Amino acid sequence: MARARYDDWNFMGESLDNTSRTGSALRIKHLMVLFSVSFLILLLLGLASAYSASYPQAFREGLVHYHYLVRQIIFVAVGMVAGAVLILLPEAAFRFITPMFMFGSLILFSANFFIKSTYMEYESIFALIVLSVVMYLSLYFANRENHISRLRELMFPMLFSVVFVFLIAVQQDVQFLVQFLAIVIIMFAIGGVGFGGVLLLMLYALVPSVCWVLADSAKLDTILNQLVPGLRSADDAAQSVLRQQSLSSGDWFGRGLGMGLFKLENLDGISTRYILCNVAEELGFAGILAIFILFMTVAYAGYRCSYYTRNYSLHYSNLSAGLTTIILWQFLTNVAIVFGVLPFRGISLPFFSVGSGIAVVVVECALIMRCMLRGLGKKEERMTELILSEDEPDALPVGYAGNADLD
Amino acid sequence: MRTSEGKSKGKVFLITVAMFAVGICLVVPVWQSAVHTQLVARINGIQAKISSYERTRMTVQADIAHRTTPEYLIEQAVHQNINFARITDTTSVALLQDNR
Repeated sequence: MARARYDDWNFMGESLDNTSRTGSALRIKHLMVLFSVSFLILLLLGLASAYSASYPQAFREGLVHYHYLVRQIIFVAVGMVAGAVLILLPEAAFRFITPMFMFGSLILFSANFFIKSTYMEYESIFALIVLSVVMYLSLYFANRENHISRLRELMFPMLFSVVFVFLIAVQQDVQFLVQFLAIVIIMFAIGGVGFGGVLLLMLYALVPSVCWVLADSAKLDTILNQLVPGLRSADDAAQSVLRQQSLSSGDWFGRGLGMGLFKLENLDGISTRYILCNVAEELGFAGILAIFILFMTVAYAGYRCSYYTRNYSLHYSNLSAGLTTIILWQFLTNVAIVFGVLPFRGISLPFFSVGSGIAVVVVECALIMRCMLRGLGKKEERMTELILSEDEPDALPVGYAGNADLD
Repeated sequence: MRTSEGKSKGKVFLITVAMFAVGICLVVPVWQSAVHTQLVARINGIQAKISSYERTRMTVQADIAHRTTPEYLIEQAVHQNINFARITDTTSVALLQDNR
């Protein structure tokens, strides 16, 4: 219980006077407003961009031009309903469904190996898995001491991480493997696992994964082709050149939303993985900068929420940090891939790419909002307890000392 | 007097309407662009069809012109064993009688 002595109100640099208490609650409220506004702008901009990038594809497939927009709106609605349910769920039920969700996604992921669904793309199932793993690890590490040193306590998260790594390795590309491993390692770090634990995870999961990649010449070829432009096939090289031209054609303010020309050519993944090319062409550098700022605002709100809630709900602190990491990681990786920095095939851009992945992103944002709401609730509850304890100096509020989650 | 709950509901309503308006403002130009592209594609299709019909019409016209030439007539007469004979006075009288 090494953290117990720090776990008081002063740990966050807040004194017990009334002005500070009101200010602290206000800060979370401001964070909520900041987060909600950024989320809504990203969502609307994402929908408009997805529509703009997908209508030529709809023409080519003989569909109405708004086909993918309607589909995207349906996915957002599904995500919002699921998110609302998750926000309103009682604490006990939320804790109950967290491991259930993880096992459910494990079964879904295994079933995907045999049944290929047209409605759920692999990437969306993968996003669900990452979400479930982050939710579960947040809960798991919140119920342990801050610095996990015992091997026994690390065995279970390590084991299921390795199982997931194995399933990803069997089914899909190396990029998902790297993404999953990175998120799990970050979650281990957020959960307070020391360097030894992370090293152990790397030994268990990363080393076999690297061996698996090296053993398959096709996968190694893909990576080498991306790294060395001279090795690419003519078609890949042509697509890459088109993407680069599309990125640079927007100038400062772009051609205007919906006015892009490169999407009319048969450019691979222009509405999914490489949608940023179309956004850059239509909104220009200013648009890309605005999107970057919006994502950074979401990340700031998420991490700040994690910081504020850390002192009284480790579970929500971990969850908020983990979910923010997923969104940020996905955004940064997508940008790096589109700009040709990372040697991967491409992953979807949160809020923008066409597909069911947007439902998962909406659910992730709803969960961050739950963390903020719970943080706000706990803060007010904590203030009342502290005010009461001031009147009766001998009576400490429940859960005041110790690292245990107050939920 | 309005309560604070009523005020906050009003704020939420206003924000929702504003967001809805922003969404429409973003989608409308894309919608116009999509319809424009669709119409351009349809015009291009129709123009391609018109060109194709024009080519067919010109081919047919050339074929008709070719078939009306004396060379083609002689060639076809040879193929079909037709013998052309000069029209004399007796044959022309007989033809006139037949026509009546």
